[in-house]
Amino acid sequence: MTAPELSEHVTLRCARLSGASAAVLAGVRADLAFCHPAIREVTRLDPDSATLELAVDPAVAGDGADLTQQVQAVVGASVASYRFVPQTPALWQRTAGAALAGLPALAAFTSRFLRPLGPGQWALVGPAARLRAALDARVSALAAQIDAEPWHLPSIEMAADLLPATGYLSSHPQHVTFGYHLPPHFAQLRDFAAKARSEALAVPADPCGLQPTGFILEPFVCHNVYRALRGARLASGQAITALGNAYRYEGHRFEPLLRQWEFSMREVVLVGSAEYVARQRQRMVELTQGLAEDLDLAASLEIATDPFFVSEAGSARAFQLLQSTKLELRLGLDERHATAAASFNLHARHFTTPLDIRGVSDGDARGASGPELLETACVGWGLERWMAAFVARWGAEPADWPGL
Amino acid sequence: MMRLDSLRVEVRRYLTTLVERGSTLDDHTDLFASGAVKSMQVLELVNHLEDHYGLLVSQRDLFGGRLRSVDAIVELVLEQRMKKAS
Repeated sequence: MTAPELSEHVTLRCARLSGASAAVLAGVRADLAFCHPAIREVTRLDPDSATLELAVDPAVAGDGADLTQQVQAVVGASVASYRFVPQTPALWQRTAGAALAGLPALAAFTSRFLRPLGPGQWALVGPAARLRAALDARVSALAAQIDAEPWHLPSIEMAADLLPATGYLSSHPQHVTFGYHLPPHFAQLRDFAAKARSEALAVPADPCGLQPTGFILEPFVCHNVYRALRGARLASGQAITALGNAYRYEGHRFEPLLRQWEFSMREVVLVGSAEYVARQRQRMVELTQGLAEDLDLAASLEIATDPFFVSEAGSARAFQLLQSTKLELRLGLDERHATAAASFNLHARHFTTPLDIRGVSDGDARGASGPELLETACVGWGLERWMAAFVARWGAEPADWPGL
Repeated sequence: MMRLDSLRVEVRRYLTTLVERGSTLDDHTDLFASGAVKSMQVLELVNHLEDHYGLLVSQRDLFGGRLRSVDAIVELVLEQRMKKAS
């Protein structure tokens, strides 16, 4: 790789890109979102010439040395992380009954019915808000078919217990949004308030005593379910459903409906024996396939991996595929593009071990004292992505939509 | 060439250092299903086998169960050595 000539667009040669598959290139593009703050967009990845083109902010890029170094590190790690990610055929797929309205319809819809509020944040207006609610009602009906109990959960998660135990901050640090507050100290608060008034502060300037709160904005709805079940002893399998806001920072890759900082996620959480969670997860897979058919959406079911942080992704992806723990339903947006709109995840004892969630009988104890540790699974539906796929199928004009 | 018994002992010794503390490990234990080898250790295991024994671990090896236990790993090492020798 050679140092770039700095301009709005830079071209870098990177030998590791040579011959990379489409799947690897998609992964590299995603990982470059968390590479360097100067990068505004990845405009081209070319495996034939082993080059990539970036739109960069010259003021942030400086002399380009750090940018080049970080790009080289990310591309190298990203390509290597796919060494043990085989191309596998879809487990199931369907085509829509008519040609998709596609990305132009999606662009027209977001232009009419979404209002940008900041990076990754959009207001849903009128038909957009109604579509989101209607799709949630359809997904809620799936959860009701397995008698999932409705819960409501906070959008913040105290980070001291589950996150260190499960390693989330090391496996997905790029997505986390941390919370801060001002110290509850009269003089500091008074000084801050005075400065906010005199300087019309938009955000607290440093130093102003900001303190970590110990919470993050929830990247998943289900984490607080497990935390609420800490120490539980369950006599039988339990299904819980909740609609919540989920927060994942995405660098420069935000897109309305498809990749938002805050988005709506309905989840079903399953807690019980390995047999119970596997059976109910499969039931939710089939019900979700049925919903895609009923809405006549192009869809496929695939074995998937999480968007792990690139430095740990190789091992994590290989392990996840070895266990076949994650299935993903992808919905078509046009002939070439799809979005992962639902995931079906088996966790084994990943959450129940640190939170000591057990059954009531000693029968299946696996080397641990007391009743057996239970297992968990979760199913998540990203409602905005279902909206995007629905609009890409049926068009931007709400009057043309079928009844939901 | 390393004898089979000493190869098995060496692989077992390495895995003992790799697996979770408290995990029970015999030559047939499924390293992944049992939870002995954790998520972040998969490539560490691959890298060790490639560096130490000169293997080239393929996707087929990993997902075909060739790294799944002490027995499987020993078999893979011997197989690749025999191929090289021939």
